[in-house]
Amino acid sequence: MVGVSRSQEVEESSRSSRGQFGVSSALFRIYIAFVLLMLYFPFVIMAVLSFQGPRGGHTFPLKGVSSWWWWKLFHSGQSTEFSDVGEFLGDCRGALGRTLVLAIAVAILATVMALLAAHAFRKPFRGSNAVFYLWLLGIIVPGITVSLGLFLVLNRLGITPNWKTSALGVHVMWTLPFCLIIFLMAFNRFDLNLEDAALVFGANPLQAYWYVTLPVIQPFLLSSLLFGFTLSLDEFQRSLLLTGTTLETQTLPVMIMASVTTRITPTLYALGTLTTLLSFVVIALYIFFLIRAERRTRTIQFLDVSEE
Amino acid sequence: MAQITETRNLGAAAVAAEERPATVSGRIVNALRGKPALTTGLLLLPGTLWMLVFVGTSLVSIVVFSFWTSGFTGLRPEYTLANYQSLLKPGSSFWAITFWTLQVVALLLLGVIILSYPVSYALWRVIKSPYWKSALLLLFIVPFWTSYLTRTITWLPMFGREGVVNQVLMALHLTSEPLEFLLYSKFSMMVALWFLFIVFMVGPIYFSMQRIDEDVMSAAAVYGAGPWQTFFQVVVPLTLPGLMAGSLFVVVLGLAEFFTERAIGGAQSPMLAGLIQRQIDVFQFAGAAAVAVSLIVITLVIVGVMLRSFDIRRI
Repeated sequence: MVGVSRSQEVEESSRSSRGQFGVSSALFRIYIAFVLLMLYFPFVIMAVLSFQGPRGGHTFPLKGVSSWWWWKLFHSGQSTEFSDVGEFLGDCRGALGRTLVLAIAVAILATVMALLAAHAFRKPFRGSNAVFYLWLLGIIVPGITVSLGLFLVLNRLGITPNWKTSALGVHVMWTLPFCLIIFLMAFNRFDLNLEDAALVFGANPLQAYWYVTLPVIQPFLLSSLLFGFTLSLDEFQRSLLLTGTTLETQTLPVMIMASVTTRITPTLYALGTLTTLLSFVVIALYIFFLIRAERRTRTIQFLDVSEE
Repeated sequence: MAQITETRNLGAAAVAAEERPATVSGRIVNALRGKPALTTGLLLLPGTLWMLVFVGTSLVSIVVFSFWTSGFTGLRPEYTLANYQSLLKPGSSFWAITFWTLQVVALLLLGVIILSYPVSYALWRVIKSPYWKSALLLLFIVPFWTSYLTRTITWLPMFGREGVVNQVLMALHLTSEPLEFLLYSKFSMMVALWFLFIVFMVGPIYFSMQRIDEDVMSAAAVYGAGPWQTFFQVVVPLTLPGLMAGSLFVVVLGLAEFFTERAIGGAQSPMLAGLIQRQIDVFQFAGAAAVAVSLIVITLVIVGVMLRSFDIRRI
C-alpha cells in the first residue's frame, strides 16, 4: 500500500533488494522507522520542553533552559519570584501516591476475579454468552457515561465519591474484561493433558493447580497484572466525577485533565515525562519477569515430554 | 535440576496431602467435588457481581435521570420528555454532532488500518531476524501501556502557530507562514488520534498474520497468484480476526473520546462524549444523561453489528 507509485524506481534498482509487492524491503524499513518516529518523537519533545526556561511557554521556542518547572511540580502552591506565571496543579505527590495505590489494588482485584471467572469459562455452561457479554460491557460502555451515571446515583444517595470507593469500583469494572480476555487466551492455548498428567501422577487438584497450571499461565498472569495496573494508572474518563471533589482525593489523571482545560504550562510536561518514565520502569519489570516465566514454562513442558 | 526436584516435591506433597485432608483448601476441594454447576457459579460470582453492580447501576441511572429535570440545585424528580425533545428536534446541534462523531470514528478507523497494515506486514514478512521482530513489535506495543492522557499531551507542542511541524516546514522553506490546518484544528486532531490509536491495531493484525501457515502462502505462489492477489485473497481474509479485534478497540474508544478534541482539536467541534462533558460542566445533568443514552445506544448498535461477524473469544 505504501509504495505503489514507487514501484517504478524499485524496478530500476538492483533485483536483490526487491521485497514484497515489488516494493524494496528498504522502503518497508523506512516506513517502520517513520511510524516509530511518530510514536516516540513527541515524547522526546515533551521531555525537552519540560526544561523550558521560567519565562517560556508550552511550545517552542525555548526561552532558556531550567529545572524550574520540575521544581514547581514538587513544590506546588509555594509563592516564588515567578509566581505570576500561575499555578494550577495541586498536590502532585499526594495524587501520584493515590494513583499508584489505586492502580495496584485494581490490578490485584481484577486479576484474581478474572482468573476465577476464566476457569468457569473453560467448560461450556448455560448462559456463558450472557455472562461474557455482560463483562464486555465494561469496555463497551463509554467511560464518561459510567462516570455520570454512578455520580448521579451517589449524589442522590448522599454519598460523597472517593477514589478508594467509587473510583476503585469503576476502575476494576473497566479492567475486568481485559483481564478475562487475557486469561481466556491463556486457556485457549493451554494443554489440558498437563493437568490430567499431574492428577494421574497422584497430585490432588490443588497441587496440580499450584505446580502445573499456575506456572504455565504465569506469563498471562503477569500480563493481566500489567493491564490492570496501566489501565487504572491512566484512567480519567471514569474517574472524572468519581474521585471526589476535593484536591485531597483527586488522582493524577483527573488533575492533568483539569489543568489542560484551564491553563497549560511546562509543569504538565514535567509531570508527563515523570509518569512516562514510571510506565517504562513498570513495563521493563514486566518484560523481565515475562522472560523468566517463559523460560520456566518451557522447561516444564520439556519435562512433560521427557517423562512419557 | 531444579525442575526435577520440584517434580519430586510434587509427589511428596501428594502423599502429605493424603494424610491431612482436613485443611481448609482440602475441605473446599472435597465439598465442590462432583458439583460442576456450583463450582462454575462460585467462580463466576465475584467478578460478575462486580460488573452487574457497576455497569448496571450506571446504565439504569443514566436512563432514569435522562427523564428528570435539571434545576439550579441539581436534578428534580419531575419526569419529562423535554431532554429528548430538545435533543432530537430537527435542526438541533445534536444531529450535527452525532454525524461529526461518526465521521471522526470512520476516518479514524480507516486511517489506523491503512497505517497499521504495512507495519504488521513488514514485521511479518520483511524483517527476518526473530530478534528484530520481537524488539520492533515490542516498540509498537509499549506506548499502549503508557498513559493515553500523556500521549495526547505530547502532541500539544507539535501543532499550533509555533508548533514543531510548522517550524520545521518553515525552516525548510516549504511555507513562509504557519499553515492554518496545522493549528489546533480538526486536521491536527485526526493526526494525533491516528498515531494515538495505531497501537491498538498493529499488534492484533500481526498476531493473526503470524498464525498464517507458510504452506498457504507457498500454495498461493505455486498456483500463480501475484503478491497483490495473495494479499487480498489470502492474507486479508486470514487476518480478519485481528483486524476486527483492533477495529473494535478503535471504534469503542474512539466513540468515547473527548480529551483529544479538547486538547488538540481546538475545543471547537465536540464529539458526543465531549458534548456530555460540556453539559456536565454547566450542571445540565439531565441533558447530559440524555446525550449519554444516545451515545450508549449508538455504541451498542455498532459494536453489536461488529460482534455478529466474529467471536472475540477466539483470539
